[in-house]
Amino acid sequence: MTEKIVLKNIDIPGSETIEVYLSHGGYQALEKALSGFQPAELIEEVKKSGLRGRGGAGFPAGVKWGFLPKQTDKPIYLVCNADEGEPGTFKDRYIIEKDPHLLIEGIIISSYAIGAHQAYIYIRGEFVKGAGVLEKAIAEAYKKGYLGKNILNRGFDLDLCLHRGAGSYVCGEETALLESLEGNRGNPRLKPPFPASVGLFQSPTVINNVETLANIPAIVMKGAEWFAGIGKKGNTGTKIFAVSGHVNRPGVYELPLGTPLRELIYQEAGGIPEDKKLKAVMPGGSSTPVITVDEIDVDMDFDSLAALGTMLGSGAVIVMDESTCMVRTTRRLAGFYAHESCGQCTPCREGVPWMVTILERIEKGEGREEDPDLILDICDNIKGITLCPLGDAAAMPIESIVRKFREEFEDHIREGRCPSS
Amino acid sequence: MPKLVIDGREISVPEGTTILRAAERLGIEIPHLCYHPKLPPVGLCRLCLVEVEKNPKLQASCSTPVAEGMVIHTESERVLKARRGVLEFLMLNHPPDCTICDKAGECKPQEYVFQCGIAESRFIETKRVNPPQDFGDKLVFRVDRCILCQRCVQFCREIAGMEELGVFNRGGRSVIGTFRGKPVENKYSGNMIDICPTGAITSRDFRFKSRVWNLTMVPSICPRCSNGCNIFIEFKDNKILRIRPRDNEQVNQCWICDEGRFGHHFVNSLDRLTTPLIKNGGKLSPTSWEEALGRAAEGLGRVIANYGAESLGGIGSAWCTNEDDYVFQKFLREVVRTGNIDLGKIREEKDESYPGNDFLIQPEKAPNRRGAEEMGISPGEDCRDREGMFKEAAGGKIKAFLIIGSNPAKETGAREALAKVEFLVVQDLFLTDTAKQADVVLPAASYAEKEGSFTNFRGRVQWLNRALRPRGEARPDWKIICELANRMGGDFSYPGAQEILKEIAEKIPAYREVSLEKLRADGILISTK
Ligand SMILES: Cc1cc2nc3c(=O)[nH]c(=O)nc-3n(C[C@H](O)[C@H](O)[C@H](O)COP(=O)(O)O)c2cc1C
Ligand code: SF4
Ligand code: SF4
Ligand code: FES
Repeated sequence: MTEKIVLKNIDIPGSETIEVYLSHGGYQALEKALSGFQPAELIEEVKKSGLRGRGGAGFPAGVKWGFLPKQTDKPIYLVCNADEGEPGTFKDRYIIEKDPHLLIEGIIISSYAIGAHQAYIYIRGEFVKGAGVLEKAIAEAYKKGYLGKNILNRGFDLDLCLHRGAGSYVCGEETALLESLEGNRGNPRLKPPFPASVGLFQSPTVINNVETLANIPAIVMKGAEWFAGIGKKGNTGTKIFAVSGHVNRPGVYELPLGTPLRELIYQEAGGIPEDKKLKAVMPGGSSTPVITVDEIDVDMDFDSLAALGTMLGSGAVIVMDESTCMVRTTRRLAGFYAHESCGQCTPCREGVPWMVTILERIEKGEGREEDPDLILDICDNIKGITLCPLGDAAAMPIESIVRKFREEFEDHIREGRCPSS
Repeated sequence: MPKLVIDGREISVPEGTTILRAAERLGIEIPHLCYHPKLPPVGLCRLCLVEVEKNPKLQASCSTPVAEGMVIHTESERVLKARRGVLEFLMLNHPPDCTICDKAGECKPQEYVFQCGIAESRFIETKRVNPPQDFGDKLVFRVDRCILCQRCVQFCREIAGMEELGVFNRGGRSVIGTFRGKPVENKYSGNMIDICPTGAITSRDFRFKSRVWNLTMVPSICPRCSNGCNIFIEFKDNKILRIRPRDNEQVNQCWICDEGRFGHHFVNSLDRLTTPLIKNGGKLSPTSWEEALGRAAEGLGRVIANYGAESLGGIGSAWCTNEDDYVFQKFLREVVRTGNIDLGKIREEKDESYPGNDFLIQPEKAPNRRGAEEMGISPGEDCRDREGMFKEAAGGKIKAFLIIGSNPAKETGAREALAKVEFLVVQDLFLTDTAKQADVVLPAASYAEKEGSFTNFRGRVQWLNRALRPRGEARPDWKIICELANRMGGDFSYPGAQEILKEIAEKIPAYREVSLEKLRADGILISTK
């Protein structure tokens, strides 16, 4: 069994309390960071570790921190993205509910590194339990002097504030999140400017995912080289895979990046119930293009999946067996994105609901021969054209399913019904 | 200055210029809908995408600043595909009702779809129905035609300074609406009719009156206040159908207020005077110009002969052009030889509690107070001002008035004073309370029916072009005065307002720089004060 980094404490009874956290070496990384590192050295360390963002895009965390302006009159903010809205994704909530202090410690160290004195956690509205746990943990951290003024007598001040979202998927997109955090309607912003220069309250801001930040204490404790030794070159460290769908043991699995998908599904997650055949996998959440059974011999890391034309995304592995109707799946997917589209920009607002109606027609047996090509062309007219990546997130998986399971769509259209039901 | 190449042509533009603006300089119009030069770019419609070499993604030209060495394509295969795609999306739920839409001919999507040659729709589904929204009595909002570019929302926030519109709901259910269904109340709301790229916002006043391509446009100046906003008078069959702003960065950029836009109906009013009137046996009745002018000259002449020139008073007008007022005072000073000259009272109105950005409207509700004064509409030395004149009229010393374009009978004291005088001549558009008391009423042309200049409150002199034939037999005020002057021994032989302007430039030092060419362009700021 490989070493765990971010889920290492979750099975310890009382892991969410500061006492248990402290008794397992908690907040030592913070001590080490504040006493042994200049902020710039920490940024270097994180760069060297190769840690890539765990929120979806896989952007190197240290590089992102390095984008902050060297000189600014404005406050710098750190925002932790705990919106976890991507369908199939349920990894951050384990950290939040079971090991909130790991996240808080990561946030404090990261804030110190980037020079932030105010940090926010933007938590998904539905995470009522998680919000309660975090609220309590933040209070404990304040009480122990890990938050507030002059932390550990090292002259570093930091306030941390928990902000609950109201249940909109798009608010997980970083600029929409910032709008929401500012109290506005959560619409994505036009970029550039990027948050590193103009972010929260018009000030330089770093936004990182929960899992990304939860990796920071270990990197500080054990060093960048140790971290870079886990996983694969360019894809270092572990990753939490949230496996769902047709597997015997759905759940979260923390494994080194580069773990073969086959191993994840058939060993870790216990294979497919009733020994049914695998049909398709969304390897990184509902926004990532599907891979077919012929393609599953791929390593679960950013670059290998990209080479296959898909993405690691949030690491949410959605497994579909042979009984799955891909038309229905696509319609459900499209419906989700149509519902969650903020509606600001044309292609997403108009194109995605259009696909929903076409897919509904096909499902009802009223499909036309030209519909699969029409859907592909609509996807083409959305991808890369929208204001924020939600449009891409809708078009990419739909396009991949229609491409890779085209006969299934054609059968539906020809037979006027779902052949598998 | 970054240098870049757009569609194979090189150009240098200042740092920070967007691709869209740089292309404009080369005469390349990149189709765009949400972008408006006076509003911050929002990048919502996604129509303006262009290809920037070395960049894998198409870029929104409205909001992407140029950079050194960029090579940009605005008509590449990829760009055209994306553009057609966006237009198709915009039209999915848009009603195909151009035939009955007021915006036809001025509608941006209509133009772009036409350009792209999209003839067939691939959309066979039922069009979306979003709930209707009411914007109040100036604007008609048709939710189904709205393409959600948010120009209107931005206008309210950025220009009008009153956040009256917002986007409600999200995704495909998004609609523009007012908060709690309140009517739109900002004083500049009509501009949204112009900037809405579709027929979603139309003018309740203008809609269904005419196809826009049947209108004739004449550049003019708004007469509703002393700001002097530049306008187009748009008319058909000698009737004004709508007023729209004309760009002038110095005065009104591309905006006008609602008062200026919708307040033109007085010109077409059925109550306008159409013939001269003379009083016979206490009753005003229509007559010919010949007879009316004869009667006026004779009446005024008799008063001068009997009581002296100082028994005559003249009230000029801030509603009249500089040319009217110049001739008016010249007649009084040089022919009648009186300095009893003053300006009719101007309504002043300032709404202190207005919550929005009142950036154009001036409190002076007349276009030419400053010009009139500078033309000499003010009492001569030892002569009476307006109140003085009415006092002396009440006391029996002033025996006759010549009043153009004002209605002093509404003022306390003036009505009684006017009742006492022996002879009263009034030039006006309407049979005002003052005109009703007159012995001779002469119908005057409105601002839309004559040429001339106004000087705005800042001292900018601007030219009005004649749009309409004067109503009935109405004539420009200066022309009436000339006729009167010539009947009373003067020699006023101006062929037109332009010649009067030349004389003003010669005679009035502050106006020495004025010329028709300059006034017709952006106007000219006079040198004194
Ligand atoms: C539609 C949409 C939804 C997203 N939702 C989330 C989310 O729930 N949690 C998250 O961490 N990142 C989410 N992201 C990614 C964020 O925009 C951002 O890239 C990420 O938080 C950066 O953190 P990282 O660099 O640590 O991965 C979303 C992106 C998009 C386009
Ligand atoms: S892509 Fe969708 S969610 Fe993103 S800005 Fe456009 S409409 Fe909103
Ligand atoms: S009403 Fe007009 S200006 Fe406003 S969003 Fe709709 S189309 Fe744009
Ligand atoms: S004009 Fe650029 S996105 Fe609308």
